[in-house]
Amino acid sequence: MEVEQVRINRKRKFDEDADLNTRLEELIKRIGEKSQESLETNLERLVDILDQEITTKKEFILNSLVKNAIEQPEKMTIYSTLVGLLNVKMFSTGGEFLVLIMEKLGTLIDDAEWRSVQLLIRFLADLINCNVVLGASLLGLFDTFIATAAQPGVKPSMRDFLLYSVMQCLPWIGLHFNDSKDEVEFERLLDILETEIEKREKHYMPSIRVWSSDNPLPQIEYMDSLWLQIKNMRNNNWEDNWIIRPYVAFESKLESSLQHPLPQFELPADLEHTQFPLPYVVFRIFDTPDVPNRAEVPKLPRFNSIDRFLVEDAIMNVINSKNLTKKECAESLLRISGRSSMPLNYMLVEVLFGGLLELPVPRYSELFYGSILVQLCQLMADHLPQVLAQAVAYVYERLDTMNTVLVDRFGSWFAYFLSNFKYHWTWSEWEECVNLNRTDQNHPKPKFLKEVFLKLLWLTFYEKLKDVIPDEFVTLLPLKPGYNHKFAEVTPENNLQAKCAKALIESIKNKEGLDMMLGSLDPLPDGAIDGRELDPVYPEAKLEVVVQTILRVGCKSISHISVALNRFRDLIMAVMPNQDAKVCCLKITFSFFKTNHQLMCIMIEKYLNFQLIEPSCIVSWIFSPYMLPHFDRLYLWQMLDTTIKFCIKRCDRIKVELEKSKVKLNEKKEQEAGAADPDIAEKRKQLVQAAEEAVDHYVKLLEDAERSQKEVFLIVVQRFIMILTDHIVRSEQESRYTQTLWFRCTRDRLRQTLVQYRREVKRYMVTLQTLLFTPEIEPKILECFTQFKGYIA
Amino acid sequence: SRYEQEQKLLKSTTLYVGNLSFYTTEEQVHEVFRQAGDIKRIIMGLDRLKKTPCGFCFVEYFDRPDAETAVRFLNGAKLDDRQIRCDWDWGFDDGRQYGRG
Repeated sequence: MEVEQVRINRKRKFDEDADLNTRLEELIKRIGEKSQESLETNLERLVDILDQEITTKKEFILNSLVKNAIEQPEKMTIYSTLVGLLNVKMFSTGGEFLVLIMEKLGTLIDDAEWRSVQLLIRFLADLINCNVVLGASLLGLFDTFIATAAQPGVKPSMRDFLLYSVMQCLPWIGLHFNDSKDEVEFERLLDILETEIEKREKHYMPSIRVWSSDNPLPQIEYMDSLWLQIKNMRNNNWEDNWIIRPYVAFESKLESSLQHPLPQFELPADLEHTQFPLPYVVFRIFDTPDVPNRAEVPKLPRFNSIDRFLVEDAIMNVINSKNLTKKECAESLLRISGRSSMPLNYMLVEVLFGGLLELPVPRYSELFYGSILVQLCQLMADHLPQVLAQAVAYVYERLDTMNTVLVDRFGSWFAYFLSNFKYHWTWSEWEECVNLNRTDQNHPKPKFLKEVFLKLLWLTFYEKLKDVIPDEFVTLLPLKPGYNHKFAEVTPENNLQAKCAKALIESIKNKEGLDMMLGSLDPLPDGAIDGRELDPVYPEAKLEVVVQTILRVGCKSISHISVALNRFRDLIMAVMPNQDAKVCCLKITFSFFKTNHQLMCIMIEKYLNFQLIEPSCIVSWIFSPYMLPHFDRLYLWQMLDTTIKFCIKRCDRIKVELEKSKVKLNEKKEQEAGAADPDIAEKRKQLVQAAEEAVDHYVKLLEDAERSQKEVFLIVVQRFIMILTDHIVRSEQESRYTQTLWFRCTRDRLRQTLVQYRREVKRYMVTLQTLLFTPEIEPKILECFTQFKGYIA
Repeated sequence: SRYEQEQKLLKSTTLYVGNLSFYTTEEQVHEVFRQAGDIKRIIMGLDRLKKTPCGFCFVEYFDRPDAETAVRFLNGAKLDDRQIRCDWDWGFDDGRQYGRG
């Protein structure tokens, strides 16, 4: 009985303890939320509560403060004020808190949690505003960062990270150091920072710029952009219009305490091997004059004002923490917009567009940005849609200098967006496109609209598209999708292939076996037929009959095609004996779906997934002269993308299976070792053997898949180099301008292939350098590779 | 059992998509859901008697993270001017394509 009572008491105590933890955590987490009391009152109350509990709950409280400051960076200054107030009450606790932060900083660096590292450093820096940290001591830490960055041989990505970590704190602390006793040292650090930032080389910029032109707004690399903003802030006496500084209200109270020197901190020695964040360009589409000059509308700060950085940073913080739920994310973004000092609708559109148009790939899925924009248009129906329309119009005006990869991405987003808003658009504003198309079919604007209309067709259907797009645009609309069955209109009596196709269909209807089906093709030669009678483009006579027939049988829907490919796999393989035949199969398929490129894209997926055609054949076909007329069409690049991603995913999946099989083998080996009975031992030995075979099987599969992937990358890069070289040589021979739109677009795509698939490309660097990007090739092509090397450095 | 079904849902790569128009085609569904990742197959829901589409389908992805993206961001999206509903499904079995007429 007594024992039981003790147990119950213990449990009660445990529950009470857990309850208290939850309550404290909740109070800390929710400080600064909307309340009837002022923030100051709430802060003072919370400090009293924490003060009461601190003797028993110190570790929990301190950890919770750090956690919340990083997870809710929009309230960071509230947490630093809280720490300042605690430091006033209990000086030693303030010191312990700093030890904890430094430990946490080490862990976050070890885990390569770069965003959190920077937020934590910012929090630490802000503590000088609350009189917790000694200014000189913070500058000492910064000095370590900058000195490490400035060491010769430090890799650029690490150098940039260290410098940026310091730089991003300055808006919070610049004012403090101005006119302080540490001002001289602070100014000295700023000067070194400037030297370090200005001497960086940025060869990679062409690979990640949204626009090749800086008109009307410059495209600035993120480090340079922030430095420019900091310089402006410095010239402006470190003033900003965004940061809320709750500690100002407690100034006299906070001043009554002493500051702590920061505990010793050393950067880990082996940081060189860590992967640091990649560089990016700050997306700017709006500047001050773009916002209507009306009293009720707040002014948009200049693109180089620190306020733009601060607001963008706040928006990014929300996106970083809420990117998994569109509703919650949109609502949180809306809460930022509750602050009336800024035209948040413009900034939200700019940041979200910037995210969508980030190179090489958006940080979060394109669908995330797309659905957030839809959500915000609904939530801010009076403020957002017109700003979004303005941004779309600006992008449209700048299509001619936009990276072609982003033109595609933007068009896909726009089609998705329209399909979510009943295809409403002020089309009349783009009527010029029709005339432009008449004089120059390759003009970026009509080209863009053609792609948007094609995407819209894929999302809806032809009649609907005709219905929602004004008649003026009819010349830009895609053709009505259909099929081009070669033997449909040919009289079988006059054409050997058509005759065989008819026999094959009979054979299929009668559910005959493979031999019989093949038998119906007997009158045709194997491989190429005498080119005089038949189309020289498809020399594989039997293959053409088979593919045309199967597509005819299956073209009703994707499911039908899948079923047909599955059912007639052996038949296709029997007449498709080599790589050339496979390339030919793609030509036949493309001709069948001449007016239905959507289905052609899906066919590529199916051929890959059913393992009918190897990725390298698809790449050869895409770059074949036969496809040149389609070279600037989005569907072609979608197919290339599908093919490359297929290779990568296949390798990844096999790796997972290989790891599983290895774990299983180890298990079996352990079991074998533990068996005493000879019968059982024998059985277990067999199991080990089976597991070994499984491992060997996956090793072999992986080798094949990796070889195939390497081949694909080498072919892609080689073909890009070939067509670009060819273009340059011919232009020079004919004394024509080299850097045409076609050339720039194709070069954009080569660059994108490198930066987007950097993880894979890095593995082939030596091969690429010795076989393809040799010093002899055209400098304009070689520089793509140089830029890539700078990007991943 | 219910527990087994819940476990299946946690690993599933299949979505149930509802509130489709009867005229929406597989190709349209493919184009919308492709945005989240590689689709393994789409199974259109059919009227038990007439064998015509009746407003729902299953979309199966190759990989779970892609299916997660679809559930998160395509639920509530518009397709043929209708707001579609996406939810996890424990996996398609033959016969389930037949809905009520």
